Amino acid sequence: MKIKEKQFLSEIDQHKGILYKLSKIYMDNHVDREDLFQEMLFQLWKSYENFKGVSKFSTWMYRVALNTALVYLKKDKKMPKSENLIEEIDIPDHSDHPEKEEQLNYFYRAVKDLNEVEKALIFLFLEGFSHREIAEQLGITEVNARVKLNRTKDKIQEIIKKQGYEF
Amino acid sequence: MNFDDLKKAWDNEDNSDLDLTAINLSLNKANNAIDKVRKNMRMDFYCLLATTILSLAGLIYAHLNLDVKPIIFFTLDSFAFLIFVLILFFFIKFYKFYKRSYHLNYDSRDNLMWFYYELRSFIDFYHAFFFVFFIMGLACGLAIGLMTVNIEMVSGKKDAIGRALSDNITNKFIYFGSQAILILGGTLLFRWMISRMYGRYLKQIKHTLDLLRSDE
Repeated sequence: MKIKEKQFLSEIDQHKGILYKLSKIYMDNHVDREDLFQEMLFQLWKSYENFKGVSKFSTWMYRVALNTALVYLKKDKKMPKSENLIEEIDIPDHSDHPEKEEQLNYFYRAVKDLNEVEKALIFLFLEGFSHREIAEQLGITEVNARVKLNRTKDKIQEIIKKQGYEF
Repeated sequence: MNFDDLKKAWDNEDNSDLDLTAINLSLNKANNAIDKVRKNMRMDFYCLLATTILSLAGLIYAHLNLDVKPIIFFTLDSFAFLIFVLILFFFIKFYKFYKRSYHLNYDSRDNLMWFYYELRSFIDFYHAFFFVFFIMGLACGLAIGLMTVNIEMVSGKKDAIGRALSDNITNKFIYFGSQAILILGGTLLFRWMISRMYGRYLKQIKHTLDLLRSDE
C-alpha cells in the first residue's frame, strides 16, 4: 500500500464515525449503508489530493462526505418494500444503556421520512455544529439554517410521537 | 426523550468494530448523480469520436474509389468541413466541462449550483449542436440531391431522385412526409436520449437545490 493511501486510511480511521453515522442517517438498510459508506470513502480518496491541510481533516471530511451523500444514487437492487425496511433497521446492541439504544432506534426510524437536506441538518446538529457552522457547510444563510433545523426537529418529534414513543 | 438525550446517545454510539483494512480504494466505482453524468459524457464522447472517424474514413474512401462529379464532392467536403469544425468546438466545450465538473470541497450549495448551471448550459449547447448538425446533414443531402437531378437532367437521364422531385403530387408528398418524419423522429429520439442520460440527474440536483433554498 502506498504511503499516501496509508496516511489517508489512518486519518479516516480516526474519523470513521462520521461516515458510519452519515450512512446510517441517509440509508435505510445495511446493504445501502455499506454502499454509501464505500462511495463516501471513494470520493474522499479522489478529493484527497485537493486537501491542502488549511482546515482540519475532519472539517474537510464532513464537507466531502456530506456532498457525496446529497448527490448519491441508490443502486438498483431488488429490495423489499420500503415499509418493511422500518423493521430492518437494527442498531447493534453493544451498549450498556438499552434506553439510549432505543432512543436512537426510534430516531433512525424517524429520519427515514426526512428529505436529504433535513438529514444533513440534523446530522450536523447532532455532530455538534453551531447554526453558523451548519450554514457554512451547506452554503446557506445562518437564519435559513436555524429555521430549517428547527422545522426538522419539530418534524422528527412529530414522527417519533406518532410511533408511540415519548419525546 | 429530548434532543439533549438524543445527542448523548448519538455521541456514545459505538462504531469501533468498523474495519477499514479490507478496503481497496482503487477498485471502487462511483454511484452519484455527478459521476453518472460524467460517465455518460465519456460514452457520448467516444460515440461521437467513433462517428467522426468513420465519417472521415467514408469520405476519404468515396474520394478514392467513387466516380462522382467534382461539384458533388465539393459540396460534400464543404459540409463535412463545417460539421467537423462544429464537432471540434463541441469537443472543446465538452472537455472543459468534464475537467472541471468536480467540486466536492465546496460547500454543498456552491457545489450543486455550479454543477447544475454548467450541466444545464451543456444540455442547451447539446440541443443546439444536434439541431445544427441535423439541419446541416439534411441540407447537405438536399443540395447533393438537387445537383444530381440537375446533372441527370442536363445529360438527359432521370433517376429515382429526379422522379421524386418531378411534378407528381404523390412523390412530393412522400418526399416531404419522409423528411418530416425524419426530423420529428430524430428530434424526439434525441430529446429522450438527453433526458435519460442527463435530464434526470439535472432534476435530482435541482430538487436538492430547491430544498436548500431559503424559507424565510
